[in-house]
Amino acid sequence: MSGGSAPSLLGFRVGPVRAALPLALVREIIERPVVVRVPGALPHVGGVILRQGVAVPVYDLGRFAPLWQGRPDDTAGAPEERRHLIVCDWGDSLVAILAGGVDLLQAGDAGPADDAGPSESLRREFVGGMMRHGDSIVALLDPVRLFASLGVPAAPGGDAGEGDGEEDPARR
Amino acid sequence: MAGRFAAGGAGGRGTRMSLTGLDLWTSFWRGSMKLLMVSVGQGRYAVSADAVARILDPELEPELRRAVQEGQAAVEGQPVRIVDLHRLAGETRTGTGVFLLVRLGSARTLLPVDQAEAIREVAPSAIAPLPPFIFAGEKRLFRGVFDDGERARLLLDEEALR
Repeated sequence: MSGGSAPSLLGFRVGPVRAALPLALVREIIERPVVVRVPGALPHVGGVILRQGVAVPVYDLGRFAPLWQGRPDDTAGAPEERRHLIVCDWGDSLVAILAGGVDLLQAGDAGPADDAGPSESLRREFVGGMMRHGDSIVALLDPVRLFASLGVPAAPGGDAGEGDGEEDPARR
Repeated sequence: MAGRFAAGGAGGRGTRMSLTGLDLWTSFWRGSMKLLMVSVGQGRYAVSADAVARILDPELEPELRRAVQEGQAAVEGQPVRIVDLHRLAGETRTGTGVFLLVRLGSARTLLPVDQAEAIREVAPSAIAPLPPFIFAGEKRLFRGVFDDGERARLLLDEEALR
Protein backbone atom coordinates (compact mmCIF):
# COMPACT_ATOMS: atom_id res chain seq x y z
CA MET A 1 0.00 0.00 0.00
CA SER A 2 1.19 3.51 -0.71
CA GLY A 3 1.65 6.03 2.07
CA GLY A 4 -0.54 9.07 2.69
CA SER A 5 -4.29 8.98 3.09
CA ALA A 6 -6.23 5.89 4.09
CA PRO A 7 -6.86 3.34 1.38
CA SER A 8 -10.28 3.44 -0.20
CA LEU A 9 -9.87 0.82 -2.90
CA LEU A 10 -9.04 -2.84 -3.06
CA GLY A 11 -6.85 -3.62 -6.02
CA PHE A 12 -6.57 -7.06 -7.53
CA ARG A 13 -5.49 -8.85 -10.65
CA VAL A 14 -7.92 -10.58 -12.91
CA GLY A 15 -6.30 -12.07 -16.01
CA PRO A 16 -3.88 -9.50 -17.46
CA VAL A 17 -5.65 -6.56 -15.87
CA ARG A 18 -5.18 -4.72 -12.59
CA ALA A 19 -8.58 -3.72 -11.33
CA ALA A 20 -10.05 -2.23 -8.18
CA LEU A 21 -13.33 -2.03 -6.31
CA PRO A 22 -14.34 0.32 -3.49
CA LEU A 23 -12.95 -0.99 -0.24
CA ALA A 24 -16.25 -0.15 1.47
CA LEU A 25 -17.85 -3.02 -0.44
CA VAL A 26 -15.35 -5.60 0.77
CA ARG A 27 -16.36 -7.67 3.76
CA GLU A 28 -13.40 -10.04 3.81
CA ILE A 29 -10.65 -11.62 1.76
CA ILE A 30 -10.16 -15.36 1.91
CA GLU A 31 -6.96 -17.06 0.79
CA ARG A 32 -7.16 -20.36 -1.07
CA PRO A 33 -10.82 -20.97 -0.36
CA VAL A 34 -12.53 -24.28 -0.91
CA VAL A 35 -15.07 -23.51 -3.59
CA VAL A 36 -17.87 -25.98 -4.23
CA ARG A 37 -18.55 -26.28 -7.92
CA VAL A 38 -22.22 -26.22 -8.87
CA PRO A 39 -23.01 -28.21 -12.02
CA GLY A 40 -25.52 -26.36 -14.17
CA ALA A 41 -24.52 -22.91 -12.92
CA LEU A 42 -23.62 -20.10 -15.28
CA PRO A 43 -20.14 -20.52 -16.83
CA HIS A 44 -18.70 -17.55 -14.98
CA VAL A 45 -19.88 -18.89 -11.63
CA GLY A 46 -16.97 -20.76 -10.09
CA GLY A 47 -19.19 -22.26 -7.43
CA VAL A 48 -20.23 -21.33 -3.92
CA ILE A 49 -18.63 -21.08 -0.53
CA LEU A 50 -20.33 -21.42 2.83
CA ARG A 51 -19.73 -18.44 5.09
CA GLN A 52 -21.52 -18.39 8.42
CA GLY A 53 -24.37 -20.44 7.09
CA VAL A 54 -24.81 -18.44 3.91
CA ALA A 55 -24.10 -19.78 0.41
CA VAL A 56 -21.99 -17.11 -1.25
CA PRO A 57 -21.71 -17.26 -5.04
CA VAL A 58 -18.15 -17.15 -6.38
CA TYR A 59 -17.61 -15.35 -9.65
CA ASP A 60 -14.72 -15.96 -12.00
CA LEU A 61 -14.50 -12.68 -13.87
CA GLY A 62 -12.02 -14.21 -16.28
CA ARG A 63 -14.87 -16.28 -17.63
CA PHE A 64 -17.41 -13.47 -17.68
CA ALA A 65 -17.47 -12.77 -21.41
CA PRO A 66 -19.32 -9.41 -21.33
CA LEU A 67 -16.49 -7.92 -19.26
CA TRP A 68 -13.86 -8.47 -21.92
CA GLN A 69 -13.11 -7.11 -25.34
CA GLY A 70 -11.88 -10.46 -26.59
CA ARG A 71 -12.48 -14.07 -25.75
CA PRO A 72 -12.62 -14.49 -21.97
CA ASP A 73 -10.39 -17.55 -22.04
CA ASP A 74 -7.56 -15.39 -23.34
CA THR A 75 -7.69 -13.22 -20.26
CA ALA A 76 -8.66 -15.66 -17.56
CA GLY A 77 -5.21 -16.18 -16.05
CA ALA A 78 -3.98 -19.35 -14.42
CA PRO A 79 -5.93 -20.68 -11.44
CA GLU A 80 -2.86 -20.27 -9.27
CA GLU A 81 -2.99 -16.55 -9.95
CA ARG A 82 -6.53 -16.36 -8.58
CA ARG A 83 -6.00 -17.74 -5.15
CA HIS A 84 -7.97 -15.13 -3.22
CA LEU A 85 -11.64 -14.59 -2.80
CA ILE A 86 -12.85 -11.05 -2.36
CA VAL A 87 -16.16 -11.25 -0.52
CA CYS A 88 -18.29 -8.17 -1.10
CA ASP A 89 -21.47 -6.88 0.45
CA TRP A 90 -23.88 -5.88 -2.24
CA GLY A 91 -27.15 -4.71 -0.88
CA ASP A 92 -28.35 -7.57 1.25
CA SER A 93 -26.32 -10.15 -0.67
CA LEU A 94 -22.81 -11.46 -0.40
CA VAL A 95 -20.83 -11.93 -3.59
CA ALA A 96 -17.30 -13.31 -3.95
CA ILE A 97 -14.81 -12.69 -6.74
CA LEU A 98 -11.84 -14.89 -7.56
CA ALA A 99 -8.72 -12.77 -7.82
CA GLY A 100 -4.99 -12.59 -7.34
CA GLY A 101 -2.53 -9.92 -6.30
CA VAL A 102 -4.84 -8.29 -3.78
CA ASP A 103 -3.64 -4.93 -2.51
CA LEU A 104 -4.97 -1.82 -0.77
CA LEU A 105 -4.93 1.35 -2.86
CA GLN A 106 -5.62 5.03 -2.40
CA ALA A 107 -8.06 6.70 -4.72
CA GLY A 108 -6.16 9.98 -4.78
CA ASP A 109 -4.45 9.30 -8.06
CA ALA A 110 -7.60 8.22 -9.83
CA GLY A 111 -8.51 10.10 -12.95
CA PRO A 112 -10.85 9.82 -15.89
CA ALA A 113 -10.38 6.74 -18.03
CA ASP A 114 -9.17 8.77 -20.99
CA ASP A 115 -6.36 10.31 -18.94
CA ALA A 116 -4.61 7.03 -18.42
CA GLY A 117 -5.67 5.40 -21.64
CA PRO A 118 -8.34 2.79 -22.12
CA SER A 119 -7.89 -0.73 -20.95
CA GLU A 120 -6.92 -3.01 -23.78
CA SER A 121 -8.95 -5.87 -22.44
CA LEU A 122 -11.87 -4.64 -20.36
CA ARG A 123 -15.01 -3.29 -21.93
CA ARG A 124 -15.24 0.41 -21.24
CA GLU A 125 -18.76 0.31 -19.83
CA PHE A 126 -17.51 -1.64 -16.83
CA VAL A 127 -14.73 0.84 -16.05
CA GLY A 128 -15.58 3.90 -13.99
CA GLY A 129 -12.09 5.36 -14.17
CA MET A 130 -8.40 4.59 -14.40
CA MET A 131 -5.58 5.29 -12.00
CA ARG A 132 -1.87 4.77 -11.88
CA HIS A 133 -0.43 2.61 -9.12
CA GLY A 134 3.31 2.20 -9.32
CA ASP A 135 4.08 1.03 -12.81
CA SER A 136 0.67 -0.33 -13.52
CA ILE A 137 -2.63 1.14 -14.60
CA VAL A 138 -5.59 0.11 -12.48
CA ALA A 139 -9.11 -0.03 -13.86
CA LEU A 140 -11.69 1.13 -11.34
CA LEU A 141 -14.58 -1.20 -11.90
CA ASP A 142 -18.10 0.15 -11.77
CA PRO A 143 -19.68 -2.12 -9.14
CA VAL A 144 -23.24 -1.19 -10.09
CA ARG A 145 -22.68 -2.21 -13.69
CA LEU A 146 -20.55 -5.21 -12.80
CA PHE A 147 -22.85 -6.85 -10.26
CA ALA A 148 -25.96 -6.09 -12.24
CA SER A 149 -24.39 -7.71 -15.31
CA LEU A 150 -23.38 -10.72 -13.26
CA GLY A 151 -27.04 -11.14 -12.40
CA VAL A 152 -26.78 -10.21 -8.72
CA PRO A 153 -30.21 -8.75 -7.97
CA ALA A 154 -29.45 -6.93 -4.75
CA ALA A 155 -28.40 -3.37 -5.49
CA PRO A 156 -28.01 -0.93 -2.60
CA GLY A 157 -31.50 0.00 -1.56
CA GLY A 158 -32.87 -3.04 -3.38
CA ASP A 159 -35.27 -5.44 -1.82
CA ALA A 160 -33.54 -8.79 -2.34
CA GLY A 161 -32.95 -10.97 0.71
CA GLU A 162 -29.59 -12.27 1.83
CA GLY A 163 -28.33 -14.59 -0.83
CA ASP A 164 -31.73 -14.14 -2.41
CA GLY A 165 -32.04 -17.88 -2.38
CA GLU A 166 -34.93 -20.18 -1.91
CA GLU A 167 -36.57 -19.35 1.41
CA ASP A 168 -36.49 -22.89 2.71
CA PRO A 169 -34.32 -25.38 0.85
CA ALA A 170 -35.60 -28.13 3.14
CA ARG A 171 -39.16 -27.35 2.03
CA ARG A 172 -40.58 -27.49 5.55
CA MET B 1 -32.97 -42.61 14.45
CA ALA B 2 -30.69 -43.58 11.64
CA GLY B 3 -31.64 -45.12 8.35
CA ARG B 4 -29.32 -47.73 7.08
CA PHE B 5 -27.68 -48.13 3.74
CA ALA B 6 -26.55 -51.70 3.30
CA ALA B 7 -24.39 -53.12 0.57
CA GLY B 8 -23.25 -56.67 0.11
CA GLY B 9 -22.80 -59.29 -2.55
CA ALA B 10 -21.30 -62.51 -3.70
CA GLY B 11 -18.37 -62.80 -6.08
CA GLY B 12 -19.35 -62.34 -9.70
CA ARG B 13 -22.97 -61.64 -8.88
CA GLY B 14 -22.79 -57.92 -8.39
CA THR B 15 -23.85 -56.02 -5.33
CA ARG B 16 -27.18 -55.92 -3.61
CA MET B 17 -28.09 -52.72 -1.88
CA SER B 18 -30.97 -51.65 0.27
CA LEU B 19 -32.30 -48.70 2.17
CA THR B 20 -33.89 -49.65 5.44
CA GLY B 21 -35.17 -48.00 8.57
CA LEU B 22 -36.67 -45.04 6.77
CA ASP B 23 -39.20 -43.51 9.08
CA LEU B 24 -40.75 -40.43 7.59
CA TRP B 25 -42.78 -39.58 10.67
CA THR B 26 -39.82 -39.69 12.99
CA SER B 27 -37.92 -37.39 10.66
CA PHE B 28 -40.88 -35.08 10.60
CA TRP B 29 -41.19 -34.91 14.36
CA ARG B 30 -37.51 -34.31 14.82
CA GLY B 31 -37.53 -31.62 12.15
CA SER B 32 -34.67 -33.26 10.31
CA MET B 33 -34.11 -34.44 6.77
CA LYS B 34 -32.84 -37.89 6.02
CA LEU B 35 -30.30 -37.52 3.24
CA LEU B 36 -28.42 -40.06 1.18
CA MET B 37 -24.85 -38.87 0.70
CA VAL B 38 -23.37 -39.67 -2.70
CA SER B 39 -20.23 -38.87 -4.63
CA VAL B 40 -19.97 -38.19 -8.33
CA GLY B 41 -16.48 -37.50 -9.61
CA GLN B 42 -15.03 -34.62 -7.60
CA GLY B 43 -18.46 -33.60 -6.37
CA ARG B 44 -20.18 -34.50 -3.12
CA TYR B 45 -23.93 -34.40 -3.16
CA ALA B 46 -26.95 -35.39 -1.11
CA VAL B 47 -30.43 -36.42 -2.11
CA SER B 48 -33.48 -36.87 0.06
CA ALA B 49 -33.44 -40.54 1.04
CA ASP B 50 -37.23 -40.54 0.97
CA ALA B 51 -37.09 -39.81 -2.75
CA VAL B 52 -34.80 -42.73 -3.54
CA ALA B 53 -37.02 -45.62 -4.50
CA ARG B 54 -34.29 -48.08 -5.44
CA ILE B 55 -30.57 -48.38 -5.91
CA LEU B 56 -29.72 -50.26 -9.07
CA ASP B 57 -26.46 -52.05 -9.66
CA PRO B 58 -25.14 -51.96 -13.23
CA GLU B 59 -23.35 -55.23 -12.53
CA LEU B 60 -26.77 -56.81 -12.32
CA GLU B 61 -28.35 -54.62 -14.99
CA PRO B 62 -25.56 -53.93 -17.50
CA GLU B 63 -27.85 -52.17 -19.95
CA LEU B 64 -27.91 -49.21 -17.55
CA ARG B 65 -24.29 -48.36 -18.26
CA ARG B 66 -24.94 -48.22 -21.98
CA ALA B 67 -28.09 -46.16 -21.46
CA VAL B 68 -26.16 -43.27 -19.86
CA GLN B 69 -25.00 -42.17 -23.29
CA GLU B 70 -28.58 -42.07 -24.53
CA GLY B 71 -29.88 -40.21 -21.49
CA GLN B 72 -32.69 -42.69 -20.99
CA ALA B 73 -33.08 -46.22 -19.72
CA ALA B 74 -35.87 -48.71 -19.32
CA VAL B 75 -36.79 -49.58 -15.75
CA GLU B 76 -39.50 -52.16 -15.24
CA GLY B 77 -40.39 -51.71 -18.89
CA GLN B 78 -40.90 -47.96 -18.60
CA PRO B 79 -38.61 -45.25 -20.01
CA VAL B 80 -36.80 -43.29 -17.34
CA ARG B 81 -34.69 -40.20 -17.91
CA ILE B 82 -31.05 -40.28 -16.80
CA VAL B 83 -29.46 -37.17 -15.29
CA ASP B 84 -25.69 -37.46 -15.69
CA LEU B 85 -23.96 -35.32 -13.08
CA HIS B 86 -20.58 -36.32 -14.48
CA ARG B 87 -21.44 -34.68 -17.77
CA LEU B 88 -22.98 -31.61 -16.15
CA ALA B 89 -19.83 -31.14 -14.08
CA GLY B 90 -17.66 -31.49 -17.18
CA GLU B 91 -16.12 -34.70 -15.91
CA THR B 92 -15.57 -38.03 -17.57
CA ARG B 93 -17.40 -40.91 -16.00
CA THR B 94 -15.09 -43.60 -14.68
CA GLY B 95 -15.77 -46.75 -12.75
CA THR B 96 -18.98 -48.60 -12.20
CA GLY B 97 -20.93 -46.93 -9.43
CA VAL B 98 -24.64 -47.39 -8.88
CA PHE B 99 -27.84 -45.85 -10.16
CA LEU B 100 -30.34 -44.14 -7.87
CA LEU B 101 -33.94 -44.40 -8.99
CA VAL B 102 -35.37 -41.13 -7.72
CA ARG B 103 -39.12 -40.92 -7.53
CA LEU B 104 -41.18 -37.78 -7.13
CA GLY B 105 -44.87 -38.42 -7.51
CA SER B 106 -45.27 -40.44 -10.66
CA ALA B 107 -42.05 -39.11 -12.16
CA ARG B 108 -38.92 -41.23 -12.00
CA THR B 109 -35.34 -40.32 -12.81
CA LEU B 110 -32.13 -42.31 -12.78
CA LEU B 111 -29.10 -40.71 -11.21
CA PRO B 112 -25.78 -42.47 -11.79
CA VAL B 113 -23.42 -41.94 -8.86
CA ASP B 114 -19.94 -43.23 -8.18
CA GLN B 115 -20.73 -44.16 -4.62
CA ALA B 116 -23.63 -44.12 -2.18
CA GLU B 117 -21.78 -43.29 1.00
CA ALA B 118 -24.19 -43.06 3.91
CA ILE B 119 -27.53 -41.86 5.16
CA ARG B 120 -27.52 -39.01 7.62
CA GLU B 121 -30.03 -36.78 9.26
CA VAL B 122 -29.46 -33.10 8.63
CA ALA B 123 -31.30 -30.24 10.25
CA PRO B 124 -33.05 -28.12 7.65
CA SER B 125 -31.62 -25.04 9.30
CA ALA B 126 -28.14 -26.31 8.41
CA ILE B 127 -28.89 -26.13 4.70
CA ALA B 128 -28.12 -22.81 3.07
CA PRO B 129 -30.23 -21.99 0.03
CA LEU B 130 -28.35 -21.45 -3.22
CA PRO B 131 -28.81 -18.05 -4.85
CA PRO B 132 -31.13 -18.67 -7.81
CA PHE B 133 -29.32 -16.10 -9.93
CA ILE B 134 -26.27 -18.33 -10.37
CA PHE B 135 -28.27 -20.59 -12.66
CA ALA B 136 -29.04 -19.87 -16.29
CA GLY B 137 -32.62 -21.07 -16.21
CA GLU B 138 -35.36 -21.46 -13.70
CA LYS B 139 -34.80 -25.17 -13.41
CA ARG B 140 -31.86 -25.82 -11.14
CA LEU B 141 -30.50 -29.13 -10.03
CA PHE B 142 -29.58 -28.07 -6.52
CA ARG B 143 -31.49 -26.31 -3.82
CA GLY B 144 -28.95 -25.87 -1.10
CA VAL B 145 -25.53 -26.52 0.34
CA PHE B 146 -24.50 -27.69 3.78
CA ASP B 147 -21.39 -28.63 5.68
CA ASP B 148 -21.31 -32.37 6.32
CA GLY B 149 -18.51 -32.02 8.83
CA GLU B 150 -15.75 -32.58 6.32
CA ARG B 151 -16.70 -30.42 3.38
CA ALA B 152 -19.58 -28.59 1.79
CA ARG B 153 -22.09 -30.78 0.01
CA LEU B 154 -24.80 -29.81 -2.49
CA LEU B 155 -28.38 -30.91 -1.92
CA LEU B 156 -30.09 -32.10 -5.08
CA ASP B 157 -33.52 -30.74 -5.89
CA GLU B 158 -35.75 -33.68 -6.75
CA GLU B 159 -38.19 -31.29 -8.40
CA ALA B 160 -35.55 -30.53 -11.02
CA LEU B 161 -35.08 -34.23 -11.68
CA ARG B 162 -38.66 -34.60 -12.89
